Amino acid sequence: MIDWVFDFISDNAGIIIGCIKAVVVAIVLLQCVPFLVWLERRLMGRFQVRLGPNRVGPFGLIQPIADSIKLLFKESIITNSADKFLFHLAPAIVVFTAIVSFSAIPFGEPVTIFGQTFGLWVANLDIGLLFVFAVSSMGIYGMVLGGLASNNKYSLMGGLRSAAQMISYELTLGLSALGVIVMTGSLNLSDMVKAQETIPNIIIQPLGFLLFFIAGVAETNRAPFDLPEAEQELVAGFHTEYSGMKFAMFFMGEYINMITMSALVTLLFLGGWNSYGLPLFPILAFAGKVFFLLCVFIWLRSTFPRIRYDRLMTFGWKVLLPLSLLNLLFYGFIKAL
Amino acid sequence: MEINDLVYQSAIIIIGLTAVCASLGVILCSSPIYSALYLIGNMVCLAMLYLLYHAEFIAAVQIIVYAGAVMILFLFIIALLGGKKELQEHTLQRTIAFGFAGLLFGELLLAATVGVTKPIEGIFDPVNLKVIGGAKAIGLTLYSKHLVPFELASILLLVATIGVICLAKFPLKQIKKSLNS
Amino acid sequence: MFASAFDGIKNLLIGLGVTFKNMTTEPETFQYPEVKRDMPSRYRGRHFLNRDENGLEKCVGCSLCSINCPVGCIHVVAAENTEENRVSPGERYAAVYEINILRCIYCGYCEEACPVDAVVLRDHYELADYDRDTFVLQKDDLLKYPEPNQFRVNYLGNTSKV
Repeated sequence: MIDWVFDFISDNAGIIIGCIKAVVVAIVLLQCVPFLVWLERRLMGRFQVRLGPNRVGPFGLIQPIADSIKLLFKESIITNSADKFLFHLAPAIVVFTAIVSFSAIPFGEPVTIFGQTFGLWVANLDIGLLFVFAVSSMGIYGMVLGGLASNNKYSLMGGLRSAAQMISYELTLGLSALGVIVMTGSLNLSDMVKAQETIPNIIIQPLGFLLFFIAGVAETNRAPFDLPEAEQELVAGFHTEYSGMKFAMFFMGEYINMITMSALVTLLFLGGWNSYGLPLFPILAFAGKVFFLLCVFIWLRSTFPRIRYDRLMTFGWKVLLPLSLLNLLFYGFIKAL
Repeated sequence: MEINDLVYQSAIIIIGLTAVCASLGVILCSSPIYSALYLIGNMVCLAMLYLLYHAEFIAAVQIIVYAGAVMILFLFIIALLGGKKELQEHTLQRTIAFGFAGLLFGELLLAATVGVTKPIEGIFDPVNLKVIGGAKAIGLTLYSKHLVPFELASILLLVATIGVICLAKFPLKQIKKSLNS
Repeated sequence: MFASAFDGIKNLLIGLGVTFKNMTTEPETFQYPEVKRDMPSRYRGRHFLNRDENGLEKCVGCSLCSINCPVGCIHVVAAENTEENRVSPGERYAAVYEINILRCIYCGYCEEACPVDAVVLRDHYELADYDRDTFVLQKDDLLKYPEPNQFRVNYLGNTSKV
């Protein structure tokens, strides 16, 4: 019996390790969410010359846990006119796609432990970047369906806005990433990091970085692009009717998307886990860059007011898209030479 | 190896059956929102099938373009128009359509049973599939062997885009007239 | 076009700089239950009734505060002072003096109207309680205070000790 177990493990080591890695990454990612909520509230507080939560636990670190317990015990209200199935499905789609899209993101070079080589990723896909884009573009359905199923005009407006915004800014996101793809010649994210061993892409393609980051902020529905959940106009946008844990799931999806987007920017433009001479573990260098970008996300949120809807569309289609096309043209030309 | 093969084959069959069920759902569902959802499900199933046949690039593009962008626009329109359930009435057209669909299905069955289906030979050999499914291989063939058709198709799309803009935009003279009057 | 674009970017960066500077400054927050804020002297909090230097109540029961109150939350019943029972220096005193502070809007008209500086609004803002009845302050509650109640309001509205 024991022999059989050992045989099974040694035969399917790849699959078992893959499963363990997937579970670990998913759990760590979900644990990052409360920390990120805490970080956002503390940092927002400091940006607004106040303290932020500091009562529950040391430095208020347990505040998000207390909040999530509160949300767990809250009543989950479903309106009578809502479409029950879609109403339940929408938050699940948001969280599912957010976690799955992170699975293609590598965060370090392969390490060797006990003679086994572990890649520090869940899946190192040849089409890594496309996979992330594909799965995160499926995440829009969560918001649109949430808006549709609630049967509420504000939710519907929020859902429609999120759909329009995501489609518009996905183009810029893809096109500005194409500049990097052209220079690297690969869609594999760890190949892209390897190509930046000497200089990070942000120095070669500053415009591409800027476009990608702006489109990334818009893709994650963060302020100043948080039109789908504009509190002042749409109550809470697509999640107006949601309460309790289902509301928290939308929240989780947004924060995981934030982490994924920061990780993508790090991999594409900031040189991934290369530390450029600083004595740092590769994985720490990666985590540090992601942390810095998350802080920038929060900084942007606490600084800029929400832009108007028509300005958002004009900015996306008439400014960002032509600029990213020019960027692509320029680097394609350089590559051809 | 045998077990892996079995898992592989059964995965293909299960996903294929799901795709068929989803596409049946598209036409049998009375609520347009659910129809659109079934269509998305169908497209995701197709992408999974592409993945199982080692066509990773096509799978990703299928999800990005069809499931991610085109279907969002479908849902957008449905949301704007209200998405009410449609009544299904028995009409003559409906009967004809059923007959036609049955006929097509019969033909498909006939084609599948009469001539035995063969795997395509040459570079599309299952052995080569892992190589040709990637983005690099597709790019190489697209920009060397099929360059002219590819460029022609892109020009066609460009013409279509410009045509849409021309059709959708108000003629300037009309606006000026309304401003003057 | 480029000039305006650069101008816009410059302004965005200025905005980011302002928030960054905010982050490095000391937070303005008072750690409330432990650290209590010193309210400005014009702050209008809970009402108190004053006593004069001889320990007599200042209120003469004229009901001007009650008349002036825009929400009608003050109830005064006056009574005559006698030689045996002297409560206030004047002819009359307030036998009943009630303020419903749930209804009060803390406008301070009562302290302005008072001819003898008897009622003042001071800087006490912790007015929460669990019992509704405690919010109708009786005369005893209004007079009860550790310090001698010798406060007055000047023409600027500043409540200060005499």
